[in-house]
Amino acid sequence: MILLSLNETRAFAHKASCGAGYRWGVAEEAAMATEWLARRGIDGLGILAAWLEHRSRMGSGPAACPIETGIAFCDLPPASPRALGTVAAPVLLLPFVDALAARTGRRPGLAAPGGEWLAPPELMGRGPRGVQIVLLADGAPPDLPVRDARVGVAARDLATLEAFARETTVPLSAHSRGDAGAGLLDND
Amino acid sequence: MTGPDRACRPAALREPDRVMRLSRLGSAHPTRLSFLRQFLRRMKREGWRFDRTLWQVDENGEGRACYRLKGPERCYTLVAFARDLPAGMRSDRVIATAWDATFALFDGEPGEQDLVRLAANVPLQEAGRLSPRELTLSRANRSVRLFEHVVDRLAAGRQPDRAALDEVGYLMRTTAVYGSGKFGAADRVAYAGRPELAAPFQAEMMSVWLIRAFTIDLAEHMAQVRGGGVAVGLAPDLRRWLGVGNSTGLGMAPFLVRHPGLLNNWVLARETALARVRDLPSATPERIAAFRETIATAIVNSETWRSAHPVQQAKLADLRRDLARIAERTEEAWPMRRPWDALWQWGEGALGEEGQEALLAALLEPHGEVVDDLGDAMAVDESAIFPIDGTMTVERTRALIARHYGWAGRFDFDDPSQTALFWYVSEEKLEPRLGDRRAEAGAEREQPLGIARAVMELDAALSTRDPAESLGAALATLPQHRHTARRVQFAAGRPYAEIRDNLLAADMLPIDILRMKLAFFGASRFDPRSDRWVRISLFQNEDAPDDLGSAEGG
Repeated sequence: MILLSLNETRAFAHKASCGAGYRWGVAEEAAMATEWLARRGIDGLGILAAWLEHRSRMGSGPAACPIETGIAFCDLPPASPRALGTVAAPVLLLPFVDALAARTGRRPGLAAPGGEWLAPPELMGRGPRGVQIVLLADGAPPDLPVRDARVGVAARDLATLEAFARETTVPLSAHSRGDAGAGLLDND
Repeated sequence: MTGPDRACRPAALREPDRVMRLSRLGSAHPTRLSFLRQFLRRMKREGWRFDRTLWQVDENGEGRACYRLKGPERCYTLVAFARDLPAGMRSDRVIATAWDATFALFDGEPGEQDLVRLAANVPLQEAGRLSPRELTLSRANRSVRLFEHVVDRLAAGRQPDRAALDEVGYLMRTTAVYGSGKFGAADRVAYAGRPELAAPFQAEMMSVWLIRAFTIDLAEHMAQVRGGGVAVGLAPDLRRWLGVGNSTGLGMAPFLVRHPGLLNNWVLARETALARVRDLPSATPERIAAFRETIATAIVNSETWRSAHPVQQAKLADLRRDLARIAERTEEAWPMRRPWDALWQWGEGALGEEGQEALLAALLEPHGEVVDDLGDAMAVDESAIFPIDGTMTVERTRALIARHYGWAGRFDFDDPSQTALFWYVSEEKLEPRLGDRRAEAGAEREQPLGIARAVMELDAALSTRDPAESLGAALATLPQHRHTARRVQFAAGRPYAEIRDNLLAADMLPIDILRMKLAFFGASRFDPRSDRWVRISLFQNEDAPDDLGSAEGG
C-alpha cells in the first residue's frame, strides 16, 4: 500500500487515462474525479485502474463509460430525471454529480430505476458490469465529507496505472538525452 | 495617442497582445511583488525568529543539520543532509542520483524518529518518499570553484575575493525544489490557508532561504576543519552578497502553459501595480530619491550581471544603455502632474523591452504602500478544474476565440518552421523535453503545449458545425478538442492567461518562458547557459535568516 498525495493522485490518474486512450481534455475530468474520491477516503486510483484495464481489454460497452457519462450531464445539465443506462464503475459518477450541484445550485443525485437513492457503498460494489442509474435533479442526501487522511493504493493497481502512463512518454534515445538542456559541463 | 484630456484619464492596463509576447516575457525583471520579496517582507513584519537547532557535520563535510524558523503561530524546520560527493558524480541534471546536500522542509520541529525516516528518504530524492509532515524536497550541489576558494581563504584567516564572489554569486546551487505534494509531500490544499504559505511558492522560498544559511555554515565549517584556530568566518558584507544558485532547464517551461490561472493572476497583479503608480497625481521627494537609488543599484547590478550566452549579452547591453538613459532622464526636473506616468510614457517610446521592464520594476519599488496588497491576489485555488459550459453555442465559442485568440491567427501552421518543435515527456526520468519534429521520433506522444495551433484547429472544427449547436453536443463528437475548449472558456475572463506566441516554432526560445517565471520568483542574475538551460541566483544581497532575532529567546 502506498500513500499518494492528492497532487500525485491527480497527475497519475491523468497520465494513465491519457495512456489508456482518453483524449487529454477527457483525461482531465477522469483525473479530477479520481482526486475527488481520494479526498473523501475512497480508493479512486484503484477504481480507475480496474476500469481502464477492463476498458482496454473489452473495449467500450455494453456498460457506459462513467467519465463520458459524467461529462455529458455536466456539460448539458438535464432539467428533469435522466436515465443514464447501465454505467460501469459508477462510483466515478459521484464527482460529476457534485460538479453538477455546483453548476445548478441544486442537489442532484444517483438513484436506481425505482427511485431509491444509491448510496456510495452500493456504487462501490459495482465494477465494470455496471448498474442501471437514473440521475435525479434535486433532493439527494448529503455528500461524502472530505477527509484529512490519505488513501492507500495497492501496488498492483499502481503497476497497472504505470503501464498505461508509460504510453504517454517517449523512450530514451541518445539524441533525446542530450537535448534536455544542461550542457556537458555542469560543474563550476 | 496624445489628446487634450489624456493626462486626466486613468492609466489602462497594458494590452495582453504586447505584454504576453515571448520576447517581453524574456525581458521580465523581478519586482517587489515577486514571491521572494513577499516572503521576506512577511518574515520581518511578523517578527519571525531563526535558529540552528542541530549541527552534526563531521570533518569530511558529512552529516545533518536543522534550521528552524518560528512565526507567530507555527514553526518550520529545514532538515539538511550533507555528503562528501566524489566529483565525478556531481551533476545538475534531473537524471543525477547523488548530490552534495539534500533537504526537506519539515512542518514543525522534527523528532529523532522523523530525522531517521528523513535520512532514509531525503538523500534519495525522487527515489524516496515524503510524508504530509514535509512541505518541500530539494537538493544542491557545490559551485566547486567558488566553494573551494572561499574555504581556502577562510581557512587561512583571510576573506575571499569579492571578484570571485561576483563571478558566481553563490556557494551552492539547487537543481530542483519540489513542493505541492510531489513525492508524497504535503498537498498545497493542506497548507494554503496559512497566511505565511498562501502566496505562491512561499514554502519553496522558505526552503531556499534556509539552504542559503546552510551553504555558508558548511563553508565556514570546512574552513574550520582545514585551518583550525587560524580560520575565520565570512565577513558580513560578503555573506550578504552570496545567494543560492539555481540551475533550471526545460522542466520549468511547461508550468506557465499548464497554469493559465496562475500566470494571469501574476501578470494582472503586476500590471495593476504599474497602473496604480502611473495614476499617482504627484511624486514625493522621498519616493523620487528612492527611485533614483533603485536605478543606481540596477546599474551596478547590471555591471556585475554576467552571461556567456550571446542572446543574453545583447540584452544586457540594451539594459545597460536603457538604465543609463533612465538615470539621465530622471536627473532633470520632474513634471508636477502625474510624473510617474510621464516617465512611463517616455520609456515606452524611448526604451527597448529590457529597459521598459526594468523601468516597471523601478517604478513599483518606492511604492510599497500603493502596490504590496496586490501580492495577496497572485495565488489561485487549483483544487477544482474549470468546468466547461456545454450550453454555450458553437457560434458564441467561436466569438470568444476571435476575441481572445485573434493573436493565434498570425501563425501559418502549414509552414513547417511553425510546427518544427514538439514538447514531450521522457520515459527515462519523466523530464519535459523539446524535440525536432522532423528529426526525432515521439511526436505522436506530443504534450499539448502548442495552444495557438490547438485553438486554430478547434476553430476550424467548429466552423463546420451548425452555429446554434451546443458546444457540449459538438465536443461529444470532438473529444480531442475538449481541453482546448476548456481553455478558451477559461481565458475569456483572464486577459493574461496565455503566452501569445507559438511555442512550436523553430525559433522559439524556452529561456524566454523560464525568465518570466523566474522573475516572478524574484531571481536575479538570469544567466542562460543555452537556449534551454539557465542559472540564476536567489536572495543575493538580501537579508539572511540570522538577520532575524533568535528563536530561542521566544
